[in-house]
Amino acid sequence: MPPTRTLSSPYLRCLQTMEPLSRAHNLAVEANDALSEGQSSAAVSLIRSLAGTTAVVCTHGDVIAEILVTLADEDRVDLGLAPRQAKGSVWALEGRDSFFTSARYFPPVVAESV
Amino acid sequence: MGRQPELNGNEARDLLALLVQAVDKANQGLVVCNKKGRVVLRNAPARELVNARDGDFLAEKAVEAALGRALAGAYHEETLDLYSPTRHTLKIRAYPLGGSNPPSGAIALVDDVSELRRLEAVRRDFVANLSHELKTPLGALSLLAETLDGEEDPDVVARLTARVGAEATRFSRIVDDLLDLSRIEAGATGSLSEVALSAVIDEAVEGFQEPAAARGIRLEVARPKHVLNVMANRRDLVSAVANLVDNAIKYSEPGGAVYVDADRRGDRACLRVRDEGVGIPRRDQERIFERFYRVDRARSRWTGGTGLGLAIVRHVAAYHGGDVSVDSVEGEGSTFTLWVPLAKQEHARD
Repeated sequence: MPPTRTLSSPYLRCLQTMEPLSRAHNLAVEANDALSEGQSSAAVSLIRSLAGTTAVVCTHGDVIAEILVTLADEDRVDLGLAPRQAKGSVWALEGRDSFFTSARYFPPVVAESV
Repeated sequence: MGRQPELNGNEARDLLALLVQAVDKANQGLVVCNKKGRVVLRNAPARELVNARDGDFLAEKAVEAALGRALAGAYHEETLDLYSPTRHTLKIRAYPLGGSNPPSGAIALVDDVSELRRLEAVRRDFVANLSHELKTPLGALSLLAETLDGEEDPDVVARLTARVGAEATRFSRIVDDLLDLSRIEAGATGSLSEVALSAVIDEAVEGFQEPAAARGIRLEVARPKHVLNVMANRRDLVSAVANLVDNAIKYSEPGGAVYVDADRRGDRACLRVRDEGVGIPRRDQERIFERFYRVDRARSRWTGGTGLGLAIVRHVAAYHGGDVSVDSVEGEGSTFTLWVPLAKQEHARD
């Protein structure tokens, strides 16, 4: 399913991470302060508002931890016993109406050396 | 078993009457039929459990069927869910009597297992909830550890480290509260002795003045007007009051106040903890004393609540022969009232 929105923390390294994907799908990268480092409830609200859509979000490790822990606690999303979030990894969240039902981890893809 | 000595007619009648009375005292329903399937004995609990009042013939039919199966020579067991007149569950077990070829009769044992069923369900829920409650901080620790790995910005490292500490603290608090709760539930609480309620209050609020002030919340403690001595396990009562004060502060907004006072009502002391905080929606008021029940999960996570505090308070109140109640209006605040019986001399004195 192709993304319909691409959102990112306003930090340059996040914007740069998102840029190629956005371009490939003819989308603009939407910078959003709620995804800045150190955010918690604002980030969770933003993610909840995206439940049921096909959006790709790029943010920081602490924010991802906050979002995942909140969804595990409040929505009872199963993260497994020792959830991971290596740099460059992806969590796919599924849900709708502000509520999430599942989360799946994709480890980082190691780029082949050129 | 020794053989019964030969009995004459009167002795046999007396023995039979005695046996009929004896089986009435059992707490299990007992129905015996002869080889033709005619019921010859039904003890008191069986009459209570299996009767046809309110048009409910299901239990009686099930017992008859079970006896029929047993008369055919086989042990039979079934569980019967009944919805009328009240919802309950019966377990029926039927055995052939006097050899199986052919049996000379059959007996059906009937147990009301409703309470057992309910407790099993409560335990299953508790284990599921507990696993979830422990998995949440563990998952957080796992995620935070990986985020910290390779992080170079000292501000970020400091913030993440604080989060790791908070999650670890939450985990250990849950374990501490669980151990407290299981100790109290097991009744391993020692004996009650006479304790001055004012001393309990002092000890319970100690240590809360500072965190309350730090959040801009006034903690006002009114000493009881009279000496109020209660029969209590001091440590548990202190922990119950501290739990109430802790909650009141956590659910208050800056600028609010928390009031603690105690009074005497008949032969009980009544201790109140009142706040001007967010309050508790009516629909949740009944359930907040349940283990791991939370009105606002997000708030509970931020404040480091374990979800067990009020369950501990309720259990402490109960084994003191007291009670705890809540009176709350959403947006205006909550008052928790803890009732504890006064020491004997106390209510004799006036």
